[in-house]
Amino acid sequence: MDTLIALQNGFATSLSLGNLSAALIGAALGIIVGAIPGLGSVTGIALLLPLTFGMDPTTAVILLAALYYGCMFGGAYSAILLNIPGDAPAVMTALDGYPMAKRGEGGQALFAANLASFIGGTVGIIALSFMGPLLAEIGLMFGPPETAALILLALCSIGWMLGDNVAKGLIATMLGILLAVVGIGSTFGHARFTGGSMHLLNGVSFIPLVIGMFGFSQLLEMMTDRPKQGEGPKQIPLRESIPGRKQVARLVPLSLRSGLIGTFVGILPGAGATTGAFLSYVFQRKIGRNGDQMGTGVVEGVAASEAGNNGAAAGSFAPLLSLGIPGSGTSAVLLGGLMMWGLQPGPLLFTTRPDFVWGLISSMYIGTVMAVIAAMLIIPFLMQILRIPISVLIPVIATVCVFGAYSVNGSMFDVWLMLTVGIAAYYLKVAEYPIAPLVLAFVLTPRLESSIRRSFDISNGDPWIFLSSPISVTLISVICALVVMGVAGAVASRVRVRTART
Amino acid sequence: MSTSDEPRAPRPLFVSAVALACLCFGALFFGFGVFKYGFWMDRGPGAGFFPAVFGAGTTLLAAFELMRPGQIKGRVQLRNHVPIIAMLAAILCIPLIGMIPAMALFVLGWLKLVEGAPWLRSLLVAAVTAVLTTLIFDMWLRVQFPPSLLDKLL
Repeated sequence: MDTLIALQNGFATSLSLGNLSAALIGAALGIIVGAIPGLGSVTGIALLLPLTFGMDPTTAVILLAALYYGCMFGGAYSAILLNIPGDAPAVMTALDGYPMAKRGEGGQALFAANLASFIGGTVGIIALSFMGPLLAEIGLMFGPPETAALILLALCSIGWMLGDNVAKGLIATMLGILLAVVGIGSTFGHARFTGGSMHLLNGVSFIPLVIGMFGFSQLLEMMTDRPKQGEGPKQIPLRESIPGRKQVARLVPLSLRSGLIGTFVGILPGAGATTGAFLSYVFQRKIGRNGDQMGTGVVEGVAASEAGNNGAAAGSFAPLLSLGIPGSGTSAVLLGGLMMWGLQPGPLLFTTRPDFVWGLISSMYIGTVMAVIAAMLIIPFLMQILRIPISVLIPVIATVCVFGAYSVNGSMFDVWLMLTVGIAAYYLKVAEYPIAPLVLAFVLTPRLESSIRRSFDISNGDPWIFLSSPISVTLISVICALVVMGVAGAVASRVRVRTART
Repeated sequence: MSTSDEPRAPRPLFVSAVALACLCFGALFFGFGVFKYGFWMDRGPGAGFFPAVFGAGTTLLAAFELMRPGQIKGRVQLRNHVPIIAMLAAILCIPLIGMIPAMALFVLGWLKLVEGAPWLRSLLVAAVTAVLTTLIFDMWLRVQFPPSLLDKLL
């Protein structure tokens, strides 16, 4: 009851004209920033942070929270329309969204992404409202061994993405891990595989890597794999793209489930929206309808990924507000902002500045509604992109790739990196190596490496620390079960094939 | 239905080249991981642990791929490399005329020379691309573009 009253007071704060305008501006800017490959929510918030210093702290954080939400919506657009994920969580969205766009179902994918983002985000915010401090406590139960086990579980789950040729899939995953160890990193403190280049001291930049892997390699493929004039897929009109009652009924349960998974992952410090989107997608593939077709362009894949990453975006606010621990890169930038305004996030924030905390939480409801309204209004314009002929799209995408790669660090090195990675990814793709496991392994590896190292530091080198808590024991049991089932399945299918041949 | 008696087309050279490149890449990481960065420290894995383990894994699997017979559906054609050459030309022009003009020229040149589009459409798309990139990256995001010879002359 106290929560409801506090939330009601929060709405009284956030529904002021100034704060509503801030939420609307933040959502619209977020959609634009999120849709531009190479930017993403961290850059967006970092860019806008200085503009909010003159504002009231509540208004400023409301604007930034809405921007964060808008980014999560916008990140899906370039993934669906151009196969260039706007940010890391949208990598999963591209797996199904882009094939749908190629078939002329881009509008359906965009609507599904918006609907799922809205539902996933709302689930996360409701959980944050009623269980914020409790969620933060649960997140704290995940120490380095539990986090390492969770990330290992995520890496093992990549197995289904490996495609028909398991060896090639594993090579791709390991290439991602190897690329991720380049640079100084936070674990060991000395440079690895930099070749003396200062550009690689911070590691291989993610954005140029992902733009090259997905965007530029796609261009090279488009040169020969494009439909002739007038032979492309027929675009489904806007009216038919709006999800009907049946489709909504299909998407709502999976979005709720994925939103919950995303929220849970979001509260874990450092796990982030990418892991949330990835685990939601894997879970949907394992248990959901059309699971076996995911990755080929089904609406369930888009919805699971989007609901998962928006749930995680909301979940990451729980440790931030309750404990002062950022759950993601974006919330780390927000934490910096809060501290600059003299606010000290932590258990006392809920009692010392309830106006601020509940104003922010209530504004997240408003921010999500604003973002979904802005996102739905923008779809007709986005669908025009699908009508642009491929001959025009190729040079335009190439330009977006160059500017996107350059703008991250303002370095030509990143443009060369994007180009090199794009060419390598093209050859890997034509030789039938899957690309998505490489990117996901690249994202997950730094966290895995630091968690393993910290676990050993805590235990003085004793590996039993990984079996010292019920959470890590459960997670490692699931990993073992997945490996055993995978091996047994592979052996069984090989026996079946041999039996059929003889 | 295919049988093992059917003659198989030779595997394209680039498929073996990709596997060989992966093998070398993995071996490099394995070697550096074990001999340079340290595989194990007194209280756990060293900086070379991940590179060594996954480098070895990559090398072994790539060697397996090299030896394994197998066919692929895709083919690499000369036409697939046209964007690489065009992009190289555009990127090399950046120090001379600046990033935004170089990319606008790339769009114009591509549409006119590669796609054979009419002049009006080519110019229009190049101009729109230049205006949008200026508005977003230069004026809004204030990205510092690399200095060019043209800037100095002007």
